[in-house]
Amino acid sequence: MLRCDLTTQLGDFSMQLKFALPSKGVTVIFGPSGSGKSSLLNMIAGFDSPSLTSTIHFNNQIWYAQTANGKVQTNTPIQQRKIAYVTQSPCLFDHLTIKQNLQYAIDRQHQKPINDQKDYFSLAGVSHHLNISLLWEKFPNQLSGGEKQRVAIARAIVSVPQLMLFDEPLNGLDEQHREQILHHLEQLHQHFSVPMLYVTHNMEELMRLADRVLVLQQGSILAQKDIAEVLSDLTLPFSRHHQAGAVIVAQVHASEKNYHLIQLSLGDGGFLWVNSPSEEHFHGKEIRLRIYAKDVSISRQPTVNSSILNILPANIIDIIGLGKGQSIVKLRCYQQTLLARLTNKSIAQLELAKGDQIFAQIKGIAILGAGLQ
Amino acid sequence: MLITNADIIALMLTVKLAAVSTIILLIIGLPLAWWLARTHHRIKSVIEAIIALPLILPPTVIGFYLLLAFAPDKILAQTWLTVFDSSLAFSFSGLVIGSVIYSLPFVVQPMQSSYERIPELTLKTAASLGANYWDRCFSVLLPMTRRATLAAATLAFAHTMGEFGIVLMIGGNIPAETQVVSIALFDHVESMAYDQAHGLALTLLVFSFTILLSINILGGQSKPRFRHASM
Repeated sequence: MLRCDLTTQLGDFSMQLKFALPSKGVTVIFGPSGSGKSSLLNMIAGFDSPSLTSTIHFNNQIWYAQTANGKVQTNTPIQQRKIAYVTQSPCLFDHLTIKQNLQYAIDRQHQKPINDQKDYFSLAGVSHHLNISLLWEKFPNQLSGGEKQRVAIARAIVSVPQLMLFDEPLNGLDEQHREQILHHLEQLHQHFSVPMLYVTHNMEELMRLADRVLVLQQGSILAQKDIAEVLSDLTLPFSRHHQAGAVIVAQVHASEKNYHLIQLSLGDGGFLWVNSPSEEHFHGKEIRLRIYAKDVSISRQPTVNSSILNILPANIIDIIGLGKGQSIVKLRCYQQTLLARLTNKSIAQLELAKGDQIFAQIKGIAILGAGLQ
Repeated sequence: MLITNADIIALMLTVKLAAVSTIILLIIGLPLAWWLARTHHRIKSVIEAIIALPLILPPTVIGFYLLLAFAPDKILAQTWLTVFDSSLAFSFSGLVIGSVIYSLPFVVQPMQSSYERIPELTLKTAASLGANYWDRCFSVLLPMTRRATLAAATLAFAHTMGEFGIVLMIGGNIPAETQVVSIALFDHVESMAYDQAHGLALTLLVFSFTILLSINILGGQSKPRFRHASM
């Protein structure tokens, strides 16, 4: 459990945050630039100190404590917080080769990796996973930006931290490198139980990595919710984004191998068919899905003889206008929440209103975390 | 051209003086340069100005004040006498103190700008990987500034080798104790022994050129050096 109660003042910028996060999964810290995301991460890492009354606790350790009279009672040095921090600039050691950079972290490992994860945390293991084995003998100044960032992430992993911090690690990288690293981070999320705080203002990274989200605005917390709730909260900006949609975590119920389809349980006896290129989806496995609002349409009657596989009964919970003739409709579908983006004309013609029973037709579903397999 | 035994003794003494001074300069100069590179204290500019003084003042001015400070009735000389049971004026120790003051800017200034170029974030990242303060100094800071340190040490060594004004004021001309090459050369010229003067002068010229050449080579060799390094 990470518990923070922070007050700080930096020139014109003031910040007041109080939150607690469980010690597992990925928490994305989301907000516009200047909202205090990086400052927050720096204070948790010990790279900066809050200027006013503050406390930071991690599990049963006190990392920072400043009393109301301004006295700093505890300020645990960075090296004793047992964290790994991947910043926007990779900060590799220029005088060491890539292999030596990784070895630097291994020599100072924060804790021993548990037995079944030993391979993942070894020099060879992490180099394989992040595809940097061929760079071992090179020096940082011979690497591209994307390669450097992969090495920085690998070095952070092999230090075996008790908390991982990422500050927009994909900033400034081209699309191909972003996709590669994002895929690695999804894998990391699946393999590795260490809690992560991930700062970003990118919708794609949010949807693919977050278990929960801390939304910051001008130095205070706007919302702290699970990813599914935060995306479907019509009072937050996510539902107005052009990439708006729902993220659902569902269990595999059955499969039709000859059609490469798997059936996922939505709870309450509802099911969803998803095309899956992988055959590794055994019964009970949890799968993370993304359904964009633009891929969901609504009908009053269940369409028959349609090519659309997933036509599910749903309730309209809320409707908000986006302006320019479009609206977002929030739907309850079994135990899940979906968003649908419709034109105002369709809403008028179907006379859609809150509480209506309708049918949601889902045209596109993406399995997240499957990435480049 | 001729080099006598006395000249060789003077040469050896000069090398010894330069070596001892360089070691002390590194011990004092590196932490001082590091502090100057990171501090925002108001006293910083004052310290920087004091360290830079030997660049501007004639060495004889520094020598004159040191001579006054080394006088047996002064606190510095008396403390030295109690601790080491020897006098500072006209002694090798006195020369070392003079040389260190004289060459301090040649170590502190380049090292300070070298340390200022090391990003704070890189050192903090090392800390986040588990390196404590001294570990960071020896595993990151010193290796990253290795070339600058080597250049500064070489420069300090060479600069001490060529020192004349301070030695003239505080050293006197005692063979094997304070008679360094530059003084011996001056002696030869005064006594019209030009052959001996040539011998010493040429030795010093070749030596200085070699040192400057090696600094230039060290300074301009960043990329190839990285390529040659191996695990």
